[in-house]
Amino acid sequence: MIAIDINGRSRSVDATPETPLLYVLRDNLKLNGAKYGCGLGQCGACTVLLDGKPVFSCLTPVGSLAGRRVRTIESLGTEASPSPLQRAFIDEQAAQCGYCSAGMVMRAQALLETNPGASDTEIRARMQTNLCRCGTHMRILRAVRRAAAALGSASASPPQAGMRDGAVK
Amino acid sequence: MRLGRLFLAVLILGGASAAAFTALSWHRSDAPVSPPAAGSIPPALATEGARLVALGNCADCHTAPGGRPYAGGVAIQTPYGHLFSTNITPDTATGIGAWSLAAFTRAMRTGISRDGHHLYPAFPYPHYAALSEHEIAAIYAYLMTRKPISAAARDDDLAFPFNIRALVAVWNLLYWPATVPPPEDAGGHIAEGIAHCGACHTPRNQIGAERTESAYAGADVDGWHAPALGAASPAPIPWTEAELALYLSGGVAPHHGVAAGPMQAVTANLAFADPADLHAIAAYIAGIGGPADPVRQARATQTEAILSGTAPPPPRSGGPGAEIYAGACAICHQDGWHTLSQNLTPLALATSLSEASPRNALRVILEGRHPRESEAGPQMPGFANNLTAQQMVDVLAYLRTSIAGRPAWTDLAETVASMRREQEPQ
Repeated sequence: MIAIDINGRSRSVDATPETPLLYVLRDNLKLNGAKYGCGLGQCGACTVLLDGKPVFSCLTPVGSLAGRRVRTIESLGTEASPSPLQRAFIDEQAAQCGYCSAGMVMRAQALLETNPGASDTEIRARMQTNLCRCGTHMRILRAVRRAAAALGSASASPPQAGMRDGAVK
Repeated sequence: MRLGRLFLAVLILGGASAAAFTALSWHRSDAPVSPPAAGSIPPALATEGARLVALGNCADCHTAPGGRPYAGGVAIQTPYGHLFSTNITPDTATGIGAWSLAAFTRAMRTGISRDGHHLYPAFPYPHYAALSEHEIAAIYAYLMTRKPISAAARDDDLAFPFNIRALVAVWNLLYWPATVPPPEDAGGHIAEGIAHCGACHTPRNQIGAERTESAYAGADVDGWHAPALGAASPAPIPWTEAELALYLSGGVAPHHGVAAGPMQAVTANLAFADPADLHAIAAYIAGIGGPADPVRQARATQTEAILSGTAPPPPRSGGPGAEIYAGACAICHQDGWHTLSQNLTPLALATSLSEASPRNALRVILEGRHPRESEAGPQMPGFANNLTAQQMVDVLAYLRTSIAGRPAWTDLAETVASMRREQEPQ
């Protein structure tokens, strides 16, 4: 059994150390937000946050996660109460098939947590890693820009109590 | 009385040195001219220039990321600070539009700008001194038929005394022209001249001159290591002319790996060069130092036997490095001797895993290797966010000993620690 910290909870999983984190999330823990796209670190559909930074969970062996914190899209918001970034994706209708969305949101989340008012150039540079085969890139960029504009102006006010890891919630 | 004579002697000596230095470092300004009229440049000459400019990789240093071609502004990192490349488009005010062919030739050969100031030898004029009048005229013709772009040069940011340009005159006295006579064969003429291979692959001395006695022994460039070439190459299988020509034109060598770091831009430019020229360079470079020594030959034979399945691969260690390899690398790189795609070089053959320093291998693991803008092809993602410093050490140790079958790197932990500090992971 391997213990990993996922979305603030310690979870014990029955897997060999080299098993990709993505398989553990989806198969063992039934956290199906992160998607299996290519399994080769080329598409970004499996992006999750590791200690606040985006990684491809398909290329992250679960045995390498001792003492580290994993966050998936399930940690952001709910259908009833989406996070600001999820809200922006909905408002911009930034999905067609939606398979890449969870990875897109998590990569943008990592950017906005460290750089809430990210510029268009910064957003484009950072989101480059993740692919969308439906071609909704322009809407995705608009959604991230919308969230950046909202968060950029909000970050001028002092942070609210209860924000962990600089999490934008 | 005696003191007076001494004082006089010092005065005369000082004055004489100052006069000599002034004479050495002063160069006349070449009168500005109007750019050549449209249509006055023979297209065939400009075409020949295009071939030379591709071989010279001029676009790489003279085009800023996202900037206009040849408009300069690239920050060049040196041990003495930053300097910025200049605009070599035919813009009259900010480029070389007002330069006569004579002024351009003087700059290419001796590193003196049109107005008489010294250019720094980051501009590899000691190599270009080997070019013929005709070749320089062809490069001039090509550059003068580019689109003029207004982009003023940025101020350099060099430490004292390197910020005194006139001191380059002393450097020239010591190191220019290159002490090695230009070779007579076509490949040597290109490699030593316009292609300036030694500018990266030959180690430099304390004040930045190539140490010609260690030509092509390998050198550190922009945080990467430009490997030794020819007989001293660390590659498990010695380079052949055919494979080197293939690599230069496409950035991929089936038995050595893929161009990364500063070499990636070089091979991208060489893709536009004449294949005959690339074969000539390849023959010259592959032949440096003669054939590989018996130890390397034996290793190559052994490596080829493993590849063909007639000999067993090196024994594998277990432990954390092996687990990370299995979970993060093996999906594409398989067992290191086979690959997921035919476009990939087996890891065991990668030059970076057989080099004396883990630097290049580590940089590829941290940053990945990405196709250039508008280029197709698979990418290797960077693992800077995935792996801790200790995990980097573990996986590199495994790659080195269990995949490449080489003796362990001894400076692994220090290299990882220092490079992680330099890197700004995404």
